[in-house]
Amino acid sequence: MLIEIINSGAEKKLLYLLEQYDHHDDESSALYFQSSKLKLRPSQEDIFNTINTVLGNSQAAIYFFHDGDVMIIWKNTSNLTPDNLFSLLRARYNFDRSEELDIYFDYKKQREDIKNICKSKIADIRLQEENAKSVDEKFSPLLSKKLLQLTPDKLTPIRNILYKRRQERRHSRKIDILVVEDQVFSSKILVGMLNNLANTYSAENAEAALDIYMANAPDIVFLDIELGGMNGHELASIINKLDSNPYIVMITANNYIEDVMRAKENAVKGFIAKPYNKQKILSIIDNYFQKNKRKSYG
Amino acid sequence: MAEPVDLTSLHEMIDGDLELEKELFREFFSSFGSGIAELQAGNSDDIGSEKWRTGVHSLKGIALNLGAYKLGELCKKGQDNYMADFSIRSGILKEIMAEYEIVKEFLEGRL
Repeated sequence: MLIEIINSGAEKKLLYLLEQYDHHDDESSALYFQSSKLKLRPSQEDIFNTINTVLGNSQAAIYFFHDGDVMIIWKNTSNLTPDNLFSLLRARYNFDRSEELDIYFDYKKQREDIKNICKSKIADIRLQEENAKSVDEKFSPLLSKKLLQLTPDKLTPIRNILYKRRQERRHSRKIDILVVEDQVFSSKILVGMLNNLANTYSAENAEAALDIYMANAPDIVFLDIELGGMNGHELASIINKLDSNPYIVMITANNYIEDVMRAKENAVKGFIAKPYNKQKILSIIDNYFQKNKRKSYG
Repeated sequence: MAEPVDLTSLHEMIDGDLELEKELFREFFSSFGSGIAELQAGNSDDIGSEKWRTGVHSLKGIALNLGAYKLGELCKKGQDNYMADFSIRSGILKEIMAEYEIVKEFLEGRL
């Protein structure tokens, strides 16, 4: 295989190559695209297959960055120009806004720009790591209480942001779903199923879930009741406060009336009992589409 | 004799993806194995251990989502008896561990 795939620490590896020496010599071309901005986010496998069809016999490298963006660098031994690849990707992934494929490189001339992209992404990763470290402090019970006590004038801008984020993707055929589950095993099953239907995010605790919720305004939240730290009911209560009419579905391995009562207080839209049942999950998603008059994923 | 694991639901969920199935089995070994170790470490004679309750609850969810219903039932028994004394909980933990070994052997045969 001539195509090298770098999907772990890609930013650091590429920056190192650019600063220390360069195995992608000046006879190379490069193309960068912001997969994270696409409505239909292609998988790494799909991107690899696409690139392989046109660059299979060339020396090439695909750098999958932590945020889903992709840098493709290839040696100019084939007749493929960045223009050709640009057209191919545009057709395949339905880029409809220029910023989705906004950086379009002549590798030789724009090495500094590539370095800057890597540096910016490395800075993002460091920031995320620092945020993760301070998560306990940031989401102390006191802060949860403060969030619940936010007055309407403070809530309106937050709700507007969430509304705007949903409006931006209202024509997308895929909805965004957040799975909040502290068991990796159970989370992987649900996310594995939902990945075919939706853009899926997962969080192992309430704090991370809230971060993702604010950043992405998911359409549906599948929320486990028993989480380490803040539990699912408390998180549902906060989301209800921050967002107008969120679509929350509780997950439980218990059958406690208390859970049902608390879920009702938080106006959740449904319950899923473990073990997961695919038909039940699909019917919940169908209900969402019907209630929100969105085109179905099917 | 019934199989220790009914994979019907899991297969539906993952749409027959064999690679993902293997990944999940490995994750099951890791999650359940460390969960049992935590229960062993935390199963003192402090009556009504919350750590024990959340531990067996978590294992119950994992077992049910795998389709290991007998194992799930044993974890539920552990959860229901979280206020019981040390000797009862130790007995339940032994049952969980024995059933886990059966489930593990079954899954290893499919890897």
